[in-house]
Amino acid sequence: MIIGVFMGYPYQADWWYKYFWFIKIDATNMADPTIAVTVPAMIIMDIVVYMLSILTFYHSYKNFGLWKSVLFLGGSFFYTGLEEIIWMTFGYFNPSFPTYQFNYYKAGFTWFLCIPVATCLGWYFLAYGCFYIGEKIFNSWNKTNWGLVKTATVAGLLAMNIDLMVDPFAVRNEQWYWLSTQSETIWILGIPYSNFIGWFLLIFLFAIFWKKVTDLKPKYGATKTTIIFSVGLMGLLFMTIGIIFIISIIFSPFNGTIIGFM
Amino acid sequence: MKRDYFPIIPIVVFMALMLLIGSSVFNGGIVNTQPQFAGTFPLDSFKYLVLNLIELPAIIIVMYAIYKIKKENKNKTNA
Repeated sequence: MIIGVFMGYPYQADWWYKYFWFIKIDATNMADPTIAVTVPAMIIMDIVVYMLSILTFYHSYKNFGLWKSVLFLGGSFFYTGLEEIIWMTFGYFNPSFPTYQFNYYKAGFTWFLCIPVATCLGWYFLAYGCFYIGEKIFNSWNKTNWGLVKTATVAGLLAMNIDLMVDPFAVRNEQWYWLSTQSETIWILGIPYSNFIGWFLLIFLFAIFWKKVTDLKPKYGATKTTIIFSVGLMGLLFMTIGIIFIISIIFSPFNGTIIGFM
Repeated sequence: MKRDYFPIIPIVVFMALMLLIGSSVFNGGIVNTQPQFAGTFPLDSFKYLVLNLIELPAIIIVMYAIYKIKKENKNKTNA
């Protein structure tokens, strides 16, 4: 099934059919030797990512307590996960929207709608780890606003730098596909530049948001602050998508195909 | 404390895993079928090396963080 005239690669035929499946592999896929051979690798990869996330959560729990740790895990999981889900789903129903899709048969074994659970958890431990490293370098995130911004900037840049390697490899391994043709965007190492902006923004904004909102707990209490966090996160989510989309439009004349983004 | 290194471990493991996937792709183990890559980004060893070198800033930052943690722990022990 090919949707859209600007896409260099179609969505998978069963993309929407299996959208709500927690595990996308079924008996039909297992009969296909090219897919069946990737299943053990996907399961191992999922287990590794789950374990790394547990390790990260343990550190977070010991350092920040249960409440802050749960907000960091839940916040980063849903903020980044939903951002990707909205982007991909909107792209499916709006043919000329710049988008991408995860490969149901190679990107992961367990799924949260159209994104692997491992990817959401990967966002979690990368966000936490990068923020922690930024904090270790400046040691000032808890002292001043400027200290927090510096820490979040290093975290965002570090994550973006890691993705400069991760994305080209994963795309060539067909774990996910960018559904744009060469003329539609500026490509960096075979990846649309907006992806890297997205990586920086997601980590940078979430780090500041989490710190600032959890600091409200003494003033409003845990319940109210959790509500503020959840509602605010949804606002931040749509703001992030908006920023990335606007940047995409602003830079689109450089490839001469502004209509490809609209 | 050993626990101070826990958040860095996932990043290092993740980067190592991706390098492993990358090496399999660039050694021709996987044939990429995406049409937008035809002729634009050949899967050769030079490009693989470049992608590894791109990671240098991240590796330096991670190593610097490890150094800072080590130093902090040493100061704590001395105190």
